[in-house]
Amino acid sequence: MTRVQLFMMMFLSRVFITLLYMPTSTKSLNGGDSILQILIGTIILVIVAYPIDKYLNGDTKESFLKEKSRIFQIVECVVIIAAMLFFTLISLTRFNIFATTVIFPASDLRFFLLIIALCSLYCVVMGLDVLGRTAEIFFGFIVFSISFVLISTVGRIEFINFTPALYDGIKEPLKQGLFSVSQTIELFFPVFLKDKIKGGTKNFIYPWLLTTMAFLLIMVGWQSGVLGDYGKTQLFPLFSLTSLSTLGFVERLDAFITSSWLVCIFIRVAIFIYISKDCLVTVFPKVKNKDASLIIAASVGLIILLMKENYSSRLLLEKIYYPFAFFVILVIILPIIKLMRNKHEENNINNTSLCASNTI
Amino acid sequence: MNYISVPKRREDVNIDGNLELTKAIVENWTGKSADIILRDFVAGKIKGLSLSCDGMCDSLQVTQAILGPLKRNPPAVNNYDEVLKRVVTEVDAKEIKTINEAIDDAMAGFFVIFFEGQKTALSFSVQGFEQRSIDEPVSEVQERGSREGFTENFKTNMTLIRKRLRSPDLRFEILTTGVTGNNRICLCSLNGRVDEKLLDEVKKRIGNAEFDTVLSTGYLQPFLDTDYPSFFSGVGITERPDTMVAKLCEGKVGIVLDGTPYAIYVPHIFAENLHSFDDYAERPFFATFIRLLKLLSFLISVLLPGMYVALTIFHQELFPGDILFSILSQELQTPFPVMIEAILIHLIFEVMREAGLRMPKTVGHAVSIVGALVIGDAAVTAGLIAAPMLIIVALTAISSFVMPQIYGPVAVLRLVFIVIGGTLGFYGIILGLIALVINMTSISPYGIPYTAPFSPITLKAFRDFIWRQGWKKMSKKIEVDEMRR
Repeated sequence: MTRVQLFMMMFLSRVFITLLYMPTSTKSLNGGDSILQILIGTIILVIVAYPIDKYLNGDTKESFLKEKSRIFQIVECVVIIAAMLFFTLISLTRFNIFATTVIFPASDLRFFLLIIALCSLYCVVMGLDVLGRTAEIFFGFIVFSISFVLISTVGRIEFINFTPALYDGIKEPLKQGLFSVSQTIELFFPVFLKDKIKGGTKNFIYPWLLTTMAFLLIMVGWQSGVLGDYGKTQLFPLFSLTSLSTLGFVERLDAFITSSWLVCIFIRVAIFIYISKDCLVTVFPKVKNKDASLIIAASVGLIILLMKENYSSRLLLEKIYYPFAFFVILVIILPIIKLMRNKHEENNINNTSLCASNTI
Repeated sequence: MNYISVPKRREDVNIDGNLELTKAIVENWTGKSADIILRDFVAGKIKGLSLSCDGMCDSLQVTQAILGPLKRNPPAVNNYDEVLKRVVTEVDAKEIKTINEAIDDAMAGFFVIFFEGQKTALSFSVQGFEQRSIDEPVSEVQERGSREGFTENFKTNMTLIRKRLRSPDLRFEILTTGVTGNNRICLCSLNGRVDEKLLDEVKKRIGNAEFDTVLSTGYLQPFLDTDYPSFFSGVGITERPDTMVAKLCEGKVGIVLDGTPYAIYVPHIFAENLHSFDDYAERPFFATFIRLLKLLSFLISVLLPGMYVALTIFHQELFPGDILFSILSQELQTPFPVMIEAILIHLIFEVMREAGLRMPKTVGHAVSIVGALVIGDAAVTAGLIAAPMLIIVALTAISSFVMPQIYGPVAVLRLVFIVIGGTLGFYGIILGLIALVINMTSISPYGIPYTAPFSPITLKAFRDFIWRQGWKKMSKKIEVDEMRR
C-alpha cells in the first residue's frame, strides 16, 4: 500500500463518522458551535498526534507488534483486537440505524450488514494492497458525491443560521469536540501499518489530519448553513442535506448519493478486520492469515447477528467513554511506549558502539 | 526374415546410418500414414532416404533445388559438408541428429534426407503448404490503421511483426508445446525494453503447461493469466501486427501460436481496453473523447440495466414525474416483474447474438431481422415487454460492443447487477460494485496492477490513460517502467 492509498483509506474511514453523525444521540449544537466543535477537535488531535508524528518520522522498519516481551505482545494484541471489534460494532450500529431509518425503514437489515462484512473480508483476504487500491478508486467517487451535494445546495445557505459560537457555553462544544476526537481512531492506522507502507510515513500524519478536518469542517459548516435549527431535529443532518440536492429536473438524488456512503463503511470495517487479523496471527503464529481473517470476520458476523434494537444501539453510541478509552490506549499510550522503546534501543546501540570504539 | 526392433515413440533415437532401420522406425511411428512420404534415392554412389509430408513442402523446390542437383551433380564423398557447399546451395538447411527431430521437421514442412552410413540427417527448409493470404483483421477494425492482420501461419505473422519493427533488438524465440500436437509457439520481445524476469516467467509458465495439443491461444491464456480468480484477464489478445508491435515497444511479451490468427501478449491491464490503434492516429482531443466514451460505454453496459431495475422497483422518487408516469404506465401493462423482464430480454439478446455469430453470414442477417421484428415490435405491441426496457437493453447491447475484448465479463456482470439491483436496489449495486472493484484490483499481471495507472496512481502514465497526450510529449517506455515501479 502506498502512502497516497493510506491517506485516502483513512480519509474515507473518518468521513463515514461525519456523514452519519447523529446530533440527537448527544446534544444538538447551533451553527457556530458545530463549527467550533470541529475546531476544538482538530486542536486536540493536533496535540495528540505529536507522538504519532514522531513515531512515523522515525527510521524504524520493525513491525508495530514486534516486542521483546511475549506477554506484553499478547496483551497489546488482545487490546487492539478488542478495540477494533468495538469500533466495528459502533460503526455497524451507526450504519444499521441509518439503514433501518433511511434506506429501508423498519426492516431488519442484518443480512445487508453481513454482505458488507463479507465484502470487507474478501478485500482483506486479497491483501492490504487490494484494500489500498480499492480505497483509491472510490476516493474520487466519494469526494465527488459529497462535493456535488455541497455545490447543489449552495443557493440554500442562510448566513443567519450561523449563530454565534459559545452562545450556550463552552461545555457542549468541548464535549462534542472530544467525541469527534474519540472517533478519529484512524490515527492508529499509519502507526500500525508503518512497516507496510511504500514510500514511508514521514510527514504524513499532519497533512492528513488537517486536510480531513478541513473537509469535515466544510461539510459540517455547510450543513449548519443550509439546515440551521432544522438540522437539530434531524436524525442524520447530512442525509437531510443530501435530500435537498438536485440535478436539473432530477430532484431526489439522496438514494443515489447515500448509496455511495456504503464504500466508507466497507473500508472502515475492512481495515478493522485487517488489523485484528494481524494481531490474531501474532498471538497465534500457527494460524494462517486467511484463517485469521475468517475468524475475525466470523466474530464481526456474530456481532451483527447479535445486534440489538435501535434504541439500545443508540445508547451505545451515546457513550463517549468506551471509544475514548480505546482511543487513548491506541493513539496515545501505545505510540508513546513504542517511541520510548525505540529511543532506548537507539541509546543501547550507541552505547555499544561507543564501548566498542573505546576498546579498540 | 530380419526382424527389426523398433524403439517406442518419444524416446530420443539417434540416427545410426542404417536406412532400413530408419525407414522402419518412421513407418512404425507414423503408422504408414498416407501423407508421410519415404523415398529411397541414389545420388552417385551414395544411397539415400528422403522423408517429407505430402502437401507441406514445395514440391517444385524439392525437385529443382534438392533432388535434381543431388542426382545431376552427386557429392564425391559421403559428406554433408560437400552436399551443402557444392550441391544444394539454394535452400536453407540444418543438420539433425535424431529421428524424432526428423519426423517433427517433416511434419512442419521440412524435407529431410538421410545418407547411408551418416549418423545425422539434413533438414531443408522448403515449406510450401497452402495458407490464407494476409487479410484485414475481422475483430479489430481500424479506420486509419494498417489493413494487415495476422494469419494462421506463424512465420507470416513473425514477418508482419518484423516488417514494422526492423530492429536487431526484436527477438523471436520458438518453443514447442503439446505432447501430441507438437505445436510451435513464438515468443516475441524487444530486447532492452522487456524485463528479463517477465520473459523468463512467461517461458516458465508455458513450460509448465501440459497439453495434448494447442489449437488456440485460449489454451495458453489460463497458464499466463493471474492466479486469482477474476472476471478480467491479465492477458491481452490482438489480431493486428501493429498493435503487437506497439505492445512490444512497451516492454511486453508477445506470444504467437502457429495455426491461429490471434496473438496474445502479457501483461495486459484494464486501461488497454480503452485504447485502440486509431487513438494514436487521431488528434489527442478526439482520442481522449473516444476513450471517455468507451469508459462510459463500459459503465453503461455493466450497470445501466441493473440501475434501471433498481430505480423502477426501489427508488422511483429519482425519476421526474413525467418520466416516472410514462415508465410505470408501460411497465404495469407487462406480465413480468421488471427484474425478470430485464433478465429475459438480455438472455434473448444473447441467444440472438450467439446465433448470428455462429450461423453462416447469409442466414445470420435473417436472425437479426427476425430478432428485430419479433422482439422490437411484436413483443412490445403484444404487451409482453415494455418499450423503456427495450430501449435500455438496446443501449446496453450497443455499448457492450464498444469494448469487444471484454464482452464476456460484461455480459455476465450485467445479469449479476440486474439481480442485485432487483433485490437490494442502489445500495446492493454499490455493494456489487465494491466487490467488482476488489476483484479488479486483486489481479496484478506480472507485477503490474490491473487497475493501473488509476490505482495505484501513476501520474506520468496518465498521459496515455484516458487523456492521450500529443506525440511530441509522449514517450511510452516511461509509462511501463513507472507502473512496474
